[in-house]
Amino acid sequence: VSLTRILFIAYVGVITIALVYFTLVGLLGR
Amino acid sequence: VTGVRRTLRDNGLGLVFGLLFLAMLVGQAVSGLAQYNDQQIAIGAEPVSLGHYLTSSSFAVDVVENWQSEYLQFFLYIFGTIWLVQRGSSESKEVDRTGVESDADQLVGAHARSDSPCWVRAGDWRTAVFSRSLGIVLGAIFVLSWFAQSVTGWAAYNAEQLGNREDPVTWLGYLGEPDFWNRTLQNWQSEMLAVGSMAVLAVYLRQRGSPESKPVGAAHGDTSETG
Repeated sequence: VSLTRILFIAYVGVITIALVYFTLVGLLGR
Repeated sequence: VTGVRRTLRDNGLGLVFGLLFLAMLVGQAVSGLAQYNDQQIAIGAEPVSLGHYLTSSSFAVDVVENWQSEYLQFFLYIFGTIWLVQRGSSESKEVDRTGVESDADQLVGAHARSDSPCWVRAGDWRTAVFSRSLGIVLGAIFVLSWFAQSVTGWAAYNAEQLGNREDPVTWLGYLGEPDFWNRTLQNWQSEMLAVGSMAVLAVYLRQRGSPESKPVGAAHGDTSETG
């Protein structure tokens, strides 16, 4: 697996997980 | 060792900006916590831990309100530059090439090459989706970030309302509050200014060696050449 592909997956993964996390923080009213 | 060095060099932009993002997010968390606790002390409340702050809507809204505007900027720029041009700008394509261009220009359908991605050669809905995938994904990240801003901003706003012994608002109510639109538009205005000034300044100014600039010796009227 190339580093380029790892970077692509890392960027998309971090953004996706962060957006789900932040949305839950807001919905749970923290 | 040379193989490792080459791999790092080949991915310099993605690696360096990814690491800078993480370092600056840590800096934002540390300074945001300090400011949050200053406010806690000012209203006679207990300071909070870093862990508490990182799971607070106050931290979350500060992060995602900036994210949504960046992805809106890229989304609008990617779509806008299909149809809008700026004569003389390296950020623009040539002024007579507006639109989605021909299949031959874009190496689509019968013009796909043997090394084209397989969804290009499929010729059905997959080609249609892949042809728009950058805009679709950046647009989706914008919409999801803006939604995240709305719910985290709502939670942070209501926490403040309760602290001031005022009534909380509904999510739809928050979408009509000045707080939501001030957070949104203060980020949008700066992105639009940055995009517009980049397009126009790149007509007359150069940065030697940068692909964002024309070659230093290119004429001011030359459009879309990169150095």
